[in-house]
Amino acid sequence: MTIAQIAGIFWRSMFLQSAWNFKKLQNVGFALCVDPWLRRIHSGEDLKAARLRALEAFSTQAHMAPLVAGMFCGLEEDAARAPAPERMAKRERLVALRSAAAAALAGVGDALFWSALRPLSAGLGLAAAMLFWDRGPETACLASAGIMLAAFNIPGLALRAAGPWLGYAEKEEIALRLKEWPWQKTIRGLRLTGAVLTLALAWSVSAGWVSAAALAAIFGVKKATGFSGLRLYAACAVAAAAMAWSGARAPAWDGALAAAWERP
Amino acid sequence: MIAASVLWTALLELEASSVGILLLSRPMVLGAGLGWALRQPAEGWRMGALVELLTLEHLPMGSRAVPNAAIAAGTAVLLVLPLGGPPPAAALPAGLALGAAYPFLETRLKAWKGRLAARAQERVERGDAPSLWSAVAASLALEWAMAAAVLFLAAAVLKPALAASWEAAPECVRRGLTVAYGFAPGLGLACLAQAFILRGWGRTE
Repeated sequence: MTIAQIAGIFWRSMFLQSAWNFKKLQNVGFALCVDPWLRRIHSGEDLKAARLRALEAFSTQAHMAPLVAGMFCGLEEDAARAPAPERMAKRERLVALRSAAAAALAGVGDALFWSALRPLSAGLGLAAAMLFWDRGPETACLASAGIMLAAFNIPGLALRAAGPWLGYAEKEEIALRLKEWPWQKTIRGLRLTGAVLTLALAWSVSAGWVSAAALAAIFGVKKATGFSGLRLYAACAVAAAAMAWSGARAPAWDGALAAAWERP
Repeated sequence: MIAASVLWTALLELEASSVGILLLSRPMVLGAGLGWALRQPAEGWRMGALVELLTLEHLPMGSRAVPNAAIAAGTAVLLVLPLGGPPPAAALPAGLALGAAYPFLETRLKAWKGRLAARAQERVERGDAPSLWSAVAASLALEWAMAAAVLFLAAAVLKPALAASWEAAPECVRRGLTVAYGFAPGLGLACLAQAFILRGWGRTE
């Protein structure tokens, strides 16, 4: 696989979810990624059958899709080169391998990119804004957005760019290779870093012990109720409105938190 | 400038789940950019950061319908900026509500995209080239138009209506929304903490 072909799969993988649909999920996006390769190795009825295989239902995490696409291209090429009696069995196997790899990689990709790296990037963006706020809001906003984007995209784009080549080189061995990578340790490390960062952010946002206690109380209520942030926000507005309507005094520490937020 | 901001935000919304997925449409980035364009970067970033933290726990996995954070942030910032509209205490819940309701439209869009995918497959079965780029372009064009229409309605219709409603609203409602806005940073940090602590760093699902 040449650099131009790897770049082609990388570029097309950006559109993986563009035509996401309920029936076959990311099938159009996946077919878009591998179509130039299929046209290179097949023609006529073989090309039609290969395109239909690529258009079967497909779903994985977006950053992991180039790996699966590379593997699919390699297996398609192997099947095309195989002697005629073996070809059918190889093609059936590649469809099963594609589904298995997509499901396994979706689990790893969701945990790594959505559950760990995305919140960590947001926390880093928030910390950057607070660190740079004294240099003016423009600098702080730029630093916040830049650090958030860099923290998420440097590993994300590296994996996406290397994916087609890795998948193509390893083919069905990719599952074994992935097992050797320290995914779990990486995810655990990212979450631990995120937890420490959140505690530091909470301390710097809270204006003294009273609002630190308020933050801890909010966290406790969220944990106890299991409510999402949006639901808890609505509940807070309704409770405060009801208190104001009944003449009760609203808690004073919301003002301290808001003031700290206005001047990080 | 408002029209350009709406069109640009709608374009970035495509990035939330359809193109790239590089976090360009995440509220903290989008809010800062919109704030910059509307000459109030601090206000835009602040609103974006609150939406970012409050929507962080909704993960875009599989077919799960989650609140659209880009629409929520875009709406909240366009309601507040340029200054003179409703206060942030009213704009933030309005943006979050619109973002939470948006998946209703997205579901219909995905059903329509299914027809495009089926058409591509039919073409292959007939032996033609599958016209995959056309399917992608049509999907993105409709998604962009839908987001632009919603954001335009928010900026042109919702903004003056919300500003007028805020003035006419009972004191207890205004007090409730103001207190909730005061709590939002703490609530956002609780959401961030939950992403790391409550799920536990030993679990990877």
